[in-house]
Amino acid sequence: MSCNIPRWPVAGDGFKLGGNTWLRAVDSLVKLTSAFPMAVLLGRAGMGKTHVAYEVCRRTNCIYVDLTEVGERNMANVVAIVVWRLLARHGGRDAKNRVVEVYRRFGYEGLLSLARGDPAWTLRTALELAGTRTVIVLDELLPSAEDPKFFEVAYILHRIRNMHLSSASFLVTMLPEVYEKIVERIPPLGNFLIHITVQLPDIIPEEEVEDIVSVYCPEKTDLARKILAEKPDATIRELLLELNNMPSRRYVELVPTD
Amino acid sequence: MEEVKITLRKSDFDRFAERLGVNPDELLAALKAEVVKVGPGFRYVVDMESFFYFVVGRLYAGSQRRPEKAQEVTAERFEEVLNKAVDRLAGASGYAKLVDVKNAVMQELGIGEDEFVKRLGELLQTKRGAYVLLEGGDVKVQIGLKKYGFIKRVERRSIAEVIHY
Repeated sequence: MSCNIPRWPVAGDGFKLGGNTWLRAVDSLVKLTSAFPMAVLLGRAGMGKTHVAYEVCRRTNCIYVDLTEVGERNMANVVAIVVWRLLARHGGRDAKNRVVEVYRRFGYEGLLSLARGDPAWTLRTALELAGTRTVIVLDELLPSAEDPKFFEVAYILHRIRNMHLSSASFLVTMLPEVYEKIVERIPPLGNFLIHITVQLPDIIPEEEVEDIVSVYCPEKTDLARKILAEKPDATIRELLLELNNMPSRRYVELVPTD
Repeated sequence: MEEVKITLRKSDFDRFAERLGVNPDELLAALKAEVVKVGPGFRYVVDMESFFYFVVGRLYAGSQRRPEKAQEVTAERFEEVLNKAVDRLAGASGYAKLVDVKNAVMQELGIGEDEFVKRLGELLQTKRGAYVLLEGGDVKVQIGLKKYGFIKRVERRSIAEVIHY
């Protein structure tokens, strides 16, 4: 058995997902997204939200969007990028669709301008191309509760809720801080989020350390258990970095070499 | 008393109130501050007299209340009160705002902020893994080296809370 522990502290879709609870979360999310236009995945930083989202994507017809790539997070940009991904996948030469026509004539700017004018129609029309139900993962939509644009971005969720799309479902990942702020400050959104939320564990359950670590490196499960006994509130990210012998440091001292 | 007034920039005052963990509006009302527009921003003007009475009143009230309770707070009692406060104030995700918890505990036990921070720091050391703290949030409390906005109680060996629909 060879060890392949991720060295970079961000989830990659090349790794298998381990841990019973996490797999159960994936099952629940697959069900939720098949029934509702929106679902929320809640978890602390470094506890596997993105990894779970990748796994949901693997099991469904899915578009994964990391919003840190999109530039300004507004309704038009979100819709345009989703439509573009749909076109890239389904908009072949013989595809007949108003949105496809617009794209052929005016390119991405055309999609963006449609999305700015009528996001709901644009999205619905593009979704017709897919034929089946599409899951759209919005990762990092609200990466922090202190985000200066918090309420503007949270409003996107509100609009998605009201679009009432029948053949698509948005899966939004969120930190607990962000979730609490939405529930407290935006009640119309918070009240219904409660019914479509899956929450990941806040600490790694002892009985699942083995499953999680053995995905990456079966030989190090004992070491992992020791680390966790010493630091029970460690996140998965911290645990993996520690196993890699790269403890998460506050800073690295740079020493000039002569 | 002579007519002396203190002028404060609004943003400075709000930041100061946030650091204290109090509601800026309440503090303004207690200080009887006036709002004055200066250039593009706002200033608060506080009369020296109101300021003086407010501060002295607080000091006096504080010295009256302290001595009776401060002694008897044991570590177990602190933990019990903290747990209750966290449970009561926890939101949908199980996390409670640390500032709210702090205020509740301080009021219940009659201890000051320094004492609360010290006690919580000690508790986190002895009961490792019993609490999870989050660094995000609008108002934060400094515990040790970091500032935290939320706290949650974790029962050991809990299996995940997956909320089914």
